[in-house]
Amino acid sequence: MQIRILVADDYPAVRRGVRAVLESQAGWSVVAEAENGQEALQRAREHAPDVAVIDISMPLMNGLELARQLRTALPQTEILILTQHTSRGMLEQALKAGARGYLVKSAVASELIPAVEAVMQHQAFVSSDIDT
Amino acid sequence: MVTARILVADDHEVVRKGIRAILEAHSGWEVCGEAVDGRDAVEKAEALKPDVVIIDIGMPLLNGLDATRQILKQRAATKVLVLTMHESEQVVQQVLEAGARGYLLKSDASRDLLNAVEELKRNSTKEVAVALDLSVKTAETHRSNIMRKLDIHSISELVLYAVRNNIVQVMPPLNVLSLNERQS
Repeated sequence: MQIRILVADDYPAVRRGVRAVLESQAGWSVVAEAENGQEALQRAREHAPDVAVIDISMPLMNGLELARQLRTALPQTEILILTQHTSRGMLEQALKAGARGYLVKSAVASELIPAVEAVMQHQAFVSSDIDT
Repeated sequence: MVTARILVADDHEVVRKGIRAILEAHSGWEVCGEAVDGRDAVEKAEALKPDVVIIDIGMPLLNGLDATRQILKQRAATKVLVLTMHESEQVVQQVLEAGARGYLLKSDASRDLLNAVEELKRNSTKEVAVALDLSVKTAETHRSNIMRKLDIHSISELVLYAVRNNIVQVMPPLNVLSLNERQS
């Protein structure tokens, strides 16, 4: 299945690692990258990705604000948030902002593929590492 | 021909994957191992004897700076590059005191990571200046100021504290002006 993905994180190694994980799947491609929220919004508008994988803490516009804006600008784009936070509070904020998926960075390598598959089916996906 | 064997230490698998992909795009460089925490980094460094260790400053079990000290105690020839989230006079000082050859901000471009490893391999002050697009004299001026400030007495202890195109931006906490004011 063809899936077009935007990756936004200010840490190039994370973008590169996420790309490596995603592109191991046939038909999945990273169509754009961004290192801050503003750039991510711009790229998303240009490319209309199926999924936006976004870091919660980025300069110029953080991931939560970006998620809100993406929901308005591109309602078809599913949002998957990456974060260092394992707190429930942050999770709730992310879901309220319109994210469908929420992954803790330590689990990205193992959970990213099932997370993308889930949000593509419009199902929520939350890292098992979240404090409940 | 393998020209550099590199150990990558970071507690996030996705970051290790990304750093590996960035480094292995350079022909001849090989990531010979990955470590998931500070203790693992020290053990792997001893077992694998890498040329270069790239290590995250904040890791579980043993932080990056303490791991750096132990790695260098095992094998002083190892070149360690620390990845940090912030750069401040304090961080720079701590990184250098631990014996690392330099540091990079995590947000620095992947090109900077490649340049940093190249400089560590070459181990010459002239090369540092070339990589930073500076005249040799400017780099040496900055370097001697930093050395005086940080009480480091040999150039070999301070090869590279940041790899970026505009070294002046790194300098604000250590600039020549505040140094002179303090001395007078």
